[in-house]
Amino acid sequence: MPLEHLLLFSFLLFSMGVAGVALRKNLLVILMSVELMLNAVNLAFVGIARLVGGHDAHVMVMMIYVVAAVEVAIGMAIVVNMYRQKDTISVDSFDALRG
Amino acid sequence: MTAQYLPVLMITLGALGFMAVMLGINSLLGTKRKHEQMPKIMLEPFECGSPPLQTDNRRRTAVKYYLVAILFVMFDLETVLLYPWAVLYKELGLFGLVELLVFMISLVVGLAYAWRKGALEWR
Amino acid sequence: MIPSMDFGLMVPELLLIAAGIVVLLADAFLPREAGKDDPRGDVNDPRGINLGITLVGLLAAGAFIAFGRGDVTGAQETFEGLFIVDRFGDAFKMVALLGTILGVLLSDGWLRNQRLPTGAFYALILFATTGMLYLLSATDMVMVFVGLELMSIPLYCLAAALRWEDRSVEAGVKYLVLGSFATAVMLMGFALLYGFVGIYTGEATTRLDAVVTAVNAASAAGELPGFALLGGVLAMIGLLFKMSAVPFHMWTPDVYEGSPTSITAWMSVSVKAVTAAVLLRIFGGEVLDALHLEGILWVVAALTMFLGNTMALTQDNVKRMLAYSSVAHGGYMLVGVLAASSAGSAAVLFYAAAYTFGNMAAFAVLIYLSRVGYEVETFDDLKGLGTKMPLVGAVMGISMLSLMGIPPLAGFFGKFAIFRAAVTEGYVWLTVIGLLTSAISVAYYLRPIVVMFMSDAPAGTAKATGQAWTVRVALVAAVLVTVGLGLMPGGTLDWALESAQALVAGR
Repeated sequence: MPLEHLLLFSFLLFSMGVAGVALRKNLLVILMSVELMLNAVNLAFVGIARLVGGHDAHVMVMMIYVVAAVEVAIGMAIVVNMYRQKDTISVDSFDALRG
Repeated sequence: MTAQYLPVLMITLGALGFMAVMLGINSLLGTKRKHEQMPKIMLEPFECGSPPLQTDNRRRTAVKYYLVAILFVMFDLETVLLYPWAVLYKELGLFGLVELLVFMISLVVGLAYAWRKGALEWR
Repeated sequence: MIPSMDFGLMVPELLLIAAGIVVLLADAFLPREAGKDDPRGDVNDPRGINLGITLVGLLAAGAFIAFGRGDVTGAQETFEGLFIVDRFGDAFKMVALLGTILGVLLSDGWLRNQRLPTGAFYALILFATTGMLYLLSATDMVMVFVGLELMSIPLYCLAAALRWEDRSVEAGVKYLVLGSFATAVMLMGFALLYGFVGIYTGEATTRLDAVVTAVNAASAAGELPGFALLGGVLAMIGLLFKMSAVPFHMWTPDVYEGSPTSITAWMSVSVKAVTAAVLLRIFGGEVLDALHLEGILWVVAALTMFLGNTMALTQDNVKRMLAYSSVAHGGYMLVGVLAASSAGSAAVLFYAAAYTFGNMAAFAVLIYLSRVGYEVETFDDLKGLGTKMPLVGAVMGISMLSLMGIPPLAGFFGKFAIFRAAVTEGYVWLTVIGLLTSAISVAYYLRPIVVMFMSDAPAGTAKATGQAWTVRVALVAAVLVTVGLGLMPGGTLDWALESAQALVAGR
């Protein structure tokens, strides 16, 4: 499989994630979109590693998996707290700070 | 290159065509009635199955599940980091074992903290 | 095969991790009051155990960096090149650690007032500091990523620490979403650069110095593919996000306003210094030009200085004003990153140190004036306090003048060093923009001084009393260093230059 196709697919996933972060209002969906971006990165790393060899990318992918999950765990804690506080998880409800 | 994807294309086209035919025949042959004019039998689930017992399916899940889920994620991810060690188990020998124990102990510290702070109590 | 590991080089980081774990365990298992063994019952740490462990850990790490490195001058690598120790990283580590110590001292009284759990709070601060230190020793994509996340994830929690207050909740959520977004963008850049190295040299590696060498070689031969350029841009955007440089600064004022004041103070100085150091380490030198990033960074630096300073003019909230001012100071540091010569790198280091203490002094005044249930945040809150408490007013004045860059204070020599390095490297117009925007900044930096000394306090304003000793110590230390660095900059400038030469020699 040529590198271009692989990178294009990974970029497509990545752009979907970016669009999700930019356009969606629900915080859970936004967090999922960030995960999608990270998975696109993982795909790019694994694919490139398959083409050019070497183990460094595998280490990177494993680290990304673990840290992404930690990030989501923390993110969920913050979002759950926001739901308790404001009864909504929509980004439209941000009004305490002038953005 | 493209030839090997031909079956996929054919299946996709077949599925789309089948869907279009079924929906088309339905709208051609079926009687059209407004919702409130339908006899009661038409409003029930089609041909088989029973009416759902619980109409509102949105039940709240208690937040305490979420806390347990986070603690689960901690040990779930530990397994990901165990894979490289498992692959190189023989080569690393005692050294790898000690390194891994240090890693595990630091995770247990986190669990101990959660336990003392009451995160494990099922309230 | 067992990889080469030298834990002796990693002692400061290990000390901080150990301190963090000990704080957590002490918080959970030590009985807090006689006859009362409920870990949830008392969060206020009456005997100051958590504070003590935290400070000991930070001071020990700092002492090791200052005295424990031996007389090795060159860079030392260990963990198969994942971890590097050199004078440059050590110097920034000292700046970050000093900023953290001040941040911890400023947090303590406030934590007690708010009845927040001190153990978790200090543990998070210690872990974030560990992340900063790892980041300053990182020469590999894996380490940059892990260090960045170890720094950022505790900061998300700390920003949302006041979990019953809408502003803090929103700050935490915004920081989380945009921070993790930035990390993902940076990682995509790393992935592309990794692919480039693998294809160009035939040896795939995540080492950043190998990436830099390959990029320079390919650029000299005119064979640099488009996706490598894209990778460079994306990696830089991720780091600029963390540094809140101007098109990526939107989150900064909101997060800085909503977070607890001591955390805002700490974030604004230490995170910025560390990110500038990482930018210098990865992108400093000819690779910036090879990746066609020089023009982009030029525009970003100019915009950052301009927008940061102009937006600060219209703020009514002091924390928000200082947030925009921190954006502007990030812009000045970016000028130093552009002029990545040894003089330029040294200037960034000195600037970061001067900014750390000057900014900390300003935030320390805000915290000093706040009481239980009353946070001093707007300019109206400051009215007339300078005449009532001349010493506190003087501290605010010195801090503002230093941030402005008035001689003979620390901020002046920072700006001077940066602009001198920029002119030497040929960035004359950028220097002109920097000087003009500094002139704009005078307007808003004078405002707290004017409000504190020239307007009358509203009736019933009392002197702030009964502040914890920690806040007093931080206040005095920050202002003394600001003045001291200004009166005797020579030694520190030499130290900065020596550290920077270590970086440039390794390029």
